[in-house]
Amino acid sequence: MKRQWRWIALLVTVGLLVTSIPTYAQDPLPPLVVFVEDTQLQTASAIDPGPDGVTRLIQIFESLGARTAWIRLSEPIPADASVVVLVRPVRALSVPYLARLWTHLSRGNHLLLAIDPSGPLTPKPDKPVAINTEKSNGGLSALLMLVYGVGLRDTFLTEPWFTHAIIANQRTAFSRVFPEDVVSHAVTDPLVAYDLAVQVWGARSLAVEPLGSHSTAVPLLYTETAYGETAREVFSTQEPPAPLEVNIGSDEQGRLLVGALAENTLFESRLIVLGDSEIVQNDFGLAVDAITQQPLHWGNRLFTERIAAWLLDQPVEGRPTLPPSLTRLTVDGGTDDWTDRPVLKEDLDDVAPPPKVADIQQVRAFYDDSYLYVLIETAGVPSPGLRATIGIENTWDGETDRVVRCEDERVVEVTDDGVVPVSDASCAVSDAIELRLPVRLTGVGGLINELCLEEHGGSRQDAPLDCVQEPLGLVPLESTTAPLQLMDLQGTYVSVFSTDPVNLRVSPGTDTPVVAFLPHGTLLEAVGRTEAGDWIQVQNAAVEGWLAEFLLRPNFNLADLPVVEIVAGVPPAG
Amino acid sequence: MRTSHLLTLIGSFMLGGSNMRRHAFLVISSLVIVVMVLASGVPTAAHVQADAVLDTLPRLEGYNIYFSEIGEEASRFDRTDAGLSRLGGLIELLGAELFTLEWRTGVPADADLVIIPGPLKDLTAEHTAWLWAYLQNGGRLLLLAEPNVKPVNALKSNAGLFQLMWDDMGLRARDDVVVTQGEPQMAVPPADSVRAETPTPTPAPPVEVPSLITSLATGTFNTTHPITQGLSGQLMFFGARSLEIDEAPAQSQVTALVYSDPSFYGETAFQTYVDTGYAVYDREADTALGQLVLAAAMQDTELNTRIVLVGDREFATNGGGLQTSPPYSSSFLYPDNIRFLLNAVAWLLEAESMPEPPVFPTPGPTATPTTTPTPAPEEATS
Repeated sequence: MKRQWRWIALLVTVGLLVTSIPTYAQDPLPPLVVFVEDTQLQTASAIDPGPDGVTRLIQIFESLGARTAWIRLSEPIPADASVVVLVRPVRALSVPYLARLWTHLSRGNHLLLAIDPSGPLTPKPDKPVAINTEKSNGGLSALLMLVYGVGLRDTFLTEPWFTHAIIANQRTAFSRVFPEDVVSHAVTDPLVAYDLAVQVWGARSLAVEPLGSHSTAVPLLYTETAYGETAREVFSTQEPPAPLEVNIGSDEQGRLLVGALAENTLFESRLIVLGDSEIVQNDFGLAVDAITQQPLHWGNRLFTERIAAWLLDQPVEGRPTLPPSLTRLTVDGGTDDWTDRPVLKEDLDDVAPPPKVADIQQVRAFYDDSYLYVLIETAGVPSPGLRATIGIENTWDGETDRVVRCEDERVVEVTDDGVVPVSDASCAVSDAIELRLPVRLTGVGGLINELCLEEHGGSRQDAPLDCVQEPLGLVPLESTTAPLQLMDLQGTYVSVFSTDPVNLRVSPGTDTPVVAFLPHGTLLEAVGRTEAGDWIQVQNAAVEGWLAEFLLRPNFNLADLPVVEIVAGVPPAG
Repeated sequence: MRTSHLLTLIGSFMLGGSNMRRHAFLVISSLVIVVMVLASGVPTAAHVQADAVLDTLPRLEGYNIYFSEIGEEASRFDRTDAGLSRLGGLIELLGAELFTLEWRTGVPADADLVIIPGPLKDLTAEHTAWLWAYLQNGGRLLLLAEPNVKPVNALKSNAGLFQLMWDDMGLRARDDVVVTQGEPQMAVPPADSVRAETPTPTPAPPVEVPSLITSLATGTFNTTHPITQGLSGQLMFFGARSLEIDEAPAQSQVTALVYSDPSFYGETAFQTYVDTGYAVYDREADTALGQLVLAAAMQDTELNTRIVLVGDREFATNGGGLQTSPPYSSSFLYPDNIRFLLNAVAWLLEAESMPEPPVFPTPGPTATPTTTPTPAPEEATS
């Protein structure tokens, strides 16, 4: 009997082994993503970890489970390649190259194309090469438009503050574009939710036709501040170059698209087109803080991860989102993302019945490294016309130091001289009143000293609808960091350009106190300069101070900044 | 009911009956034929004769064949000497459905075969991409490539489609014209021979150079390939490009089908010859004298792709390889050209087994060929 059981156990074991071997053998290989590495096209290199390489993009695909390899388009694309990545072709694709790419797509495979406008110089200082790449009427663009509904345009996105010197260098021709929110898509949903911009370094616009035979196309990124310059003569090195100005009838204006995705249902093929290759290059869009190794541009990072996951056909719920180390909060007046956050003050029974809509019930607040977030919940759904005024105390003297107000879904600072808009703050009124205020303004570790709600448009003499009379208490500091330290939609920025972290100082001069150390690539808003122009006053949500001019790459003419009067020994006001 | 079947019925009835019946049915059959001709608009004798002959060929019902016209190819609707109406008509008689390739949305999914009969203008990048994608997904192509002599400017050997075909399949057409030297003639050397050292630059004096003969007949075939194994006569070319083949074992197997006589070489400066009458054999630039490949077949067993490449557009045109005599008959002057083309279509479509070679009526005495056949190679070189 015992022997029989042994035989049965042996048979079962063998049976399990036999059935498991084919199962193992049939496990599909991870999808193969191939990067075009071509000297003729001078593509961004898949094996170059340098600034304009795409090794970090490879890491993103590999982190999502893909196999990666590099290929030449002078040879057939491997039949098992699911995705072809073509970043920064400096030259137009030859007919054979295009044919190979098209064969790949017609077999139900996918393409990520990141392509710069023609005209500007590549950022290689030792060997600058003028980009002369695919045109709007070229074969690639024509086919992509026909089959997917996405085409290239022959434009260079020019911000109003760009100069000829700025656009001659891709390091300085940077600006920000925004996730499309009119037409939503799962790829950009988290970027929209967290107000994450995507940084570009000299982009072109795209044409997107959403409806077409067997295809759907969706815009992903847009800008409304830049116009599409069509005259390549603006890049001319001959003096004088064509002026940077909008020419009605030829240049493009309005909501210009910089990124798009599309699917062709006949091919079962997917396409991503980006109008700027630096979005996904190592030391540009995918740059990291040299010290913390955290991405410098969370918008670029998350956007790149999301498009990679979409190309790999990963389920929506499994696609990357912001890591837990970042503050994941949407300023939309909703209370959903506040449930786990501490209540700073309850103020339930201060208004005589019947309860009024503007009766403050509960206040929550916290700091991260860059912003103070506040949520005010009322007895009823607050009306959009409600105005919230907050007094902040951060000098420990019991007196309110700064007063800010949310009205008409924008934030202003109330000063003795009047109200000043705070462009990088935001607020929203929906189920509750929600504010995000830059730490630069509020200070860290302060407390909310007073809080009132009043009817916007009422007379100044009208009593507030409700106030919290006593200080609300110390606002807790969360360990998360803000995903973006510059929230305003447009601006004249500078980018730190230094191998080592640079000193942000209280006022101009190397003998003044250091406020912070800023790593290479940090983006700041420039607000003023010394008369000599050798020091620039900068700020973001977290800090404000002065930086030496030579450490910066501005995207505008620094001489256009207002001169800030420096009084000896007194730090200039921010 | 097909024309041949009807005629067979009529014929058998006539043979078996009385004189009266014969006369009656002769009248009836004549009327039927006239009605059919009027209804179909097809030339009488040619249609009837060709139809009867084509009974021996594999049927092509159910196949969709697309003809390109985007590059000013010979048109299947063109009944002139430059047209392709005879080849189109023959294929249609075999039962295939013919369409004109629209190109804008690529090659249709139901295309069993694409025929590009000698474009004068090059395919655009988009067209090449569409075509290549079609081929790489198991497509079939019959391509006639005309030499690049004005007004032809298409399918250069080192660009576009031929660059792809050479890199990936080992087959392309060279940028030459297959010629042999004929009677000497006087010609002025081209402008680059102007003697600049003289005080007043003067053109070089006329010199005696051989004339070049481009039309050629060849009976040198690869008898092992299904397309050419049944051919016994001669194929006629009217100015062809030589083909370059990499026959090394690979995924794509290329087979040379038709060779020229060894006395021919590939003249790479034929345009100069056309312009000035001057051409000499250039050992460095021209394709070496020898048996040059004029037609070839490529089969990719993995992709299931098949291509037949012929280095001459006139090989298949009404006034070239498909000349008839008299012109309204199906008495083809070069019946092997038709056999080759129909065999190629059948091989490309993998349609049934290869048939016995069809036998066409002997050309009549009123033949008026539009081009002069090449002298036999022996004569040309002697």
